[in-house]
Amino acid sequence: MTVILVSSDNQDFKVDKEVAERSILIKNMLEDVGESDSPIPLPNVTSAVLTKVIEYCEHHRNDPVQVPEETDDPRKRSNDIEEWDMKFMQVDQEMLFEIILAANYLDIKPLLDVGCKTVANIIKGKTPEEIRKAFNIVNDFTPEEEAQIKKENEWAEDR
Amino acid sequence: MTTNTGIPEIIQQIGTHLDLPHLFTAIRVCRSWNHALIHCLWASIDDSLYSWGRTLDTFLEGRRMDPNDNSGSDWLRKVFLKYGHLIQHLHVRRREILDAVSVTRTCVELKSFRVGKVEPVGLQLLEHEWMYNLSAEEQVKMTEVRGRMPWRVLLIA
Repeated sequence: MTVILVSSDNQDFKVDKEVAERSILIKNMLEDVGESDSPIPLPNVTSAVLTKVIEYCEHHRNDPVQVPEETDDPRKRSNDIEEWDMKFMQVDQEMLFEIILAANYLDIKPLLDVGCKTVANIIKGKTPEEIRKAFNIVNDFTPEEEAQIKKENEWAEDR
Repeated sequence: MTTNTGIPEIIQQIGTHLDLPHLFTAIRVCRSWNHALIHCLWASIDDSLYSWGRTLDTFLEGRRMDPNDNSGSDWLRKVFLKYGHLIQHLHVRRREILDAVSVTRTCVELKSFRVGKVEPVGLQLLEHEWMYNLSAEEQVKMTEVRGRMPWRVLLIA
């Protein structure tokens, strides 16, 4: 069985139901609607991003459903990313954030995690200025504020 | 680009994959990142970890040079005034931290509070030492009086 997803720029994507249901949002929509072949509009996702998202879902179509680790401290989770996902995430920074946003909107937890881990790995080992450069972020702190925040939180530095 | 890097939910998600030293970097990137991540940095404080020891020792050094120098504890109290309400779990071994907690009374969101063996270092405000000498009944009473604090004061000698 297939479903049709419609991107924000009105492109149709025909995908297997099993693949589309990696998105909890779409899964719930399909359950609510019942048997129906009407296309599913995704007004928050462009075709470029949806193409990537579908590629991910195709590859991971047979993965077991992720059990949420509620009690675990997320900070203790490893930041390891499997090889295919790592290659999949080698996109420009703009696309990276677009994918994360789409994963968040479509409720695809493993993709959201991989995206966030990828950004986290980019952040590691960089200075604030290097992070701003990497993600095109404007520093809106005054130098005094920045110095103050640094001093107030310096205890969190590695020994 | 990009407005995407400023969406709080996303930044918070990314923050869950960063440890404290990296969060310390991330909160200095820009205001929106600071806003989204500062509570992660302060959620769980243990003054035996990271650079707390070094930070607090600097104050002590200042005091050794000049016994009337209170700038260190002044500064720490101000930091707790600003960030104390973000702390959910607190494990204290240093008297300077106890001082800041008890004087500012801003740690109103604590879910757990552990006090280890606290070394005396000669700060003026020895309130918690005084509390050691209270009976259990008096301690409960004091906790009631300070009703704003939703936790029971636990003192572990």
